[in-house]
Amino acid sequence: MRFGARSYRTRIPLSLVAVAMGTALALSMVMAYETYLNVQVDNLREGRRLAHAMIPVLRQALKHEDVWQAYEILRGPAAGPQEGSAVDARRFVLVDKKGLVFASNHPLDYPVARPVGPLLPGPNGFSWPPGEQPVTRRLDHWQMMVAPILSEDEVIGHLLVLLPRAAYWDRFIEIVRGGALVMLLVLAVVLPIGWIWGRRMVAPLARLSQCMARVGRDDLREIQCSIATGDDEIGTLGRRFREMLQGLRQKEALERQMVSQERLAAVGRVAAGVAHEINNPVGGLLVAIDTYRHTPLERRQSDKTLDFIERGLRQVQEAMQALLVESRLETRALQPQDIDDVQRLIQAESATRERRLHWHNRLSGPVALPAGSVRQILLNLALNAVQATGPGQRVEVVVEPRDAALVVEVVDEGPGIPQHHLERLFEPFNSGRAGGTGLGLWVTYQTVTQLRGEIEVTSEEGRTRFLVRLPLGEGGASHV
Amino acid sequence: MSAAAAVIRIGLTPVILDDQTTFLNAWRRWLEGRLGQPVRFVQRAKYRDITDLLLGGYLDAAWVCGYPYVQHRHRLRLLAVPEYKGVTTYHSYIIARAGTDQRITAFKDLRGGVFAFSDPDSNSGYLYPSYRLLSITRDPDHFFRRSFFTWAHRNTVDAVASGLADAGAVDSYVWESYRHLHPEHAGETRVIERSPPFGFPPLVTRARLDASLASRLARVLHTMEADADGRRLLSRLFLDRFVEPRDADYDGIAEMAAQVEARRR
Repeated sequence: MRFGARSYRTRIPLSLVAVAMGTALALSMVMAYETYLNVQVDNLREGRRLAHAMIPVLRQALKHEDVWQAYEILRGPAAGPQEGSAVDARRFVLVDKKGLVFASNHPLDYPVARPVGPLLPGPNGFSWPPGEQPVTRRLDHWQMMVAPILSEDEVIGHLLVLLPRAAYWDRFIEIVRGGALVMLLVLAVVLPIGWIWGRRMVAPLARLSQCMARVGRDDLREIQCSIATGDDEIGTLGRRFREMLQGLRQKEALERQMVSQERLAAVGRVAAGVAHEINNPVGGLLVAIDTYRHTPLERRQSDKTLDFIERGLRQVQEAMQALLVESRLETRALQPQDIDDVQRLIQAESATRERRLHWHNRLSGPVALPAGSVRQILLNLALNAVQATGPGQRVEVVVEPRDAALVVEVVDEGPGIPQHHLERLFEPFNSGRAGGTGLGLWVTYQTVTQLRGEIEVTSEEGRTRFLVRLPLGEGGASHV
Repeated sequence: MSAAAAVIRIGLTPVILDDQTTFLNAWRRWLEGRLGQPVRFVQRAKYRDITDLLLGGYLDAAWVCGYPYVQHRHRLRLLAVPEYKGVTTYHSYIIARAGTDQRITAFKDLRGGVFAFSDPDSNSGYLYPSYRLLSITRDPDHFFRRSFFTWAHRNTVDAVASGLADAGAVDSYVWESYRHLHPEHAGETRVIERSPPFGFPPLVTRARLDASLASRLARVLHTMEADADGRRLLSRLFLDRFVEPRDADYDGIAEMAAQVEARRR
């Protein structure tokens, strides 16, 4: 997993933790190095101090030729309860002025009365330092300090202190081990704190991000988030987002208003046609009643007349039903009857204009789409087609289920839509028609989109086709 | 000061191994109980110091080696001598380091090595080895590469065990007691030569000491084994008892001393 691809909820805390560990590591290494140097210095210093303490008594032992006393002094530092090997590992060698070993704390390695030179580590060629000050040399894995022993300004011998470098290592490891333990304890406390702190820093951002993700998905009215409002960058983001959300909500409310307005406007457009459709049978009904009244009693056929009136009124009722339904918001599933209703409404309109309307309702049962939305789409497109064609021109409408979708196809033989108009066809307030709201196609587009469908238009002179495809089984928005 | 309250001072040298304060306190208290007088032990590093203090009158008695006794025979009187493993004699042991140094098997193998003596006034720790040198070399001062004094028998054992010296001369009683008390050190040295028997280091007084005090001291020491506490103290020293000493037992040491000193002149 690439580091960059991970969420900030991991990256920020991880960065904090990484920085803490990196710092700890760097510090550790520096301190370890310092410690190593210090251990060396301390060892040397202690060796020097011991030598300084022993020399006065060693001086006397040399002068009195008291080998045993010198031995007791030299093995003093290691006598007593055995500590670590470091103390034992140091070599103290008392050498007389002839360069012969007088005594040492490791007699088997430095035999008494033998020349000391060949016994020392490093290449041969050991020479006595001039002067009266102690001198430190590095030989092989040892550090050697040579301290002259003076009696009344005459050098009567030397004390050699040999410190093995391995001894530093043991002590160094000891110290480092202790330090590492402390470091681990500190990290054990700091790392969780760093992690939690990082998470808390990122949390408002994560919440904001989650909230934003819902904007396209969920109903705006249902999005409730606790958004950070502070003075920092995330707080500013939060405030802007909230304003944006407000704006979006207002826009949505406005659109809903426009859609319902358009629906009513569409109703208005067909009202005249419907009125006409009602008027025709009503005229006939009145004539029938009048005829009945004027028929002599013995020849009156009340049943026939009543049937005729009933049929006429049913026709009126059906016409009114279609209109009523249209003016109401319908949330129930689409039925084949709905398509027939719209046809009736259109028929009224097209008949007055002598258009040839070919209507193909191929639904066989209910469809899982909101009836109101589909009727509105169909009504709008069909009305447009009828109004776009001239006398004698054809309008063809097909509604059928096809490939797990409902397909609505409206074709007219009108003059077509010019190219420049086509590009901005679905924008609001853009009708080429005077007196209209200009929202018809925009609303149609919004409705189709809400139902997760597609709308496609092709137009040339003599043939304009609108194709709408609404997928079935998807939960489209249940509101208009 | 009345004689009853006078402190009896007894000098001690490294002829005995256990110079621990607890043991000496116990022994001192026992002596005080038997003598009816306060007793003090006096310790010094060198045999010579004790001998000087004794001859000078500061000490009433001292437990010394046979060599200082024969050196001042006319001014000292034997009080008591320990019986150790049934006899009143001991030996000088020439010891070397155990283990890898098996090439040293006899005194002559010590030529060119480093030798540890105990005390210049010690029979087992100096006189006897010097006497042995006389029969081995014509130049005893240069037989060893280096020699030195350790001032105590147990120090000589330590010196040889640690490698400070290749070999050394010790009191056999001290050597055996040391191994008994410190078995962890037991295997570090081995005996390469045993001397003939010599008179065990005795307790002596100066000749001028009050005779009654001297005989009281002697009696207390000789009857130490009759007493339960006394036996306990003796066992701490690995001794059987104290007995009447025989002057003739120290003739051997006197003889060696004469020869060594003659050679030196």
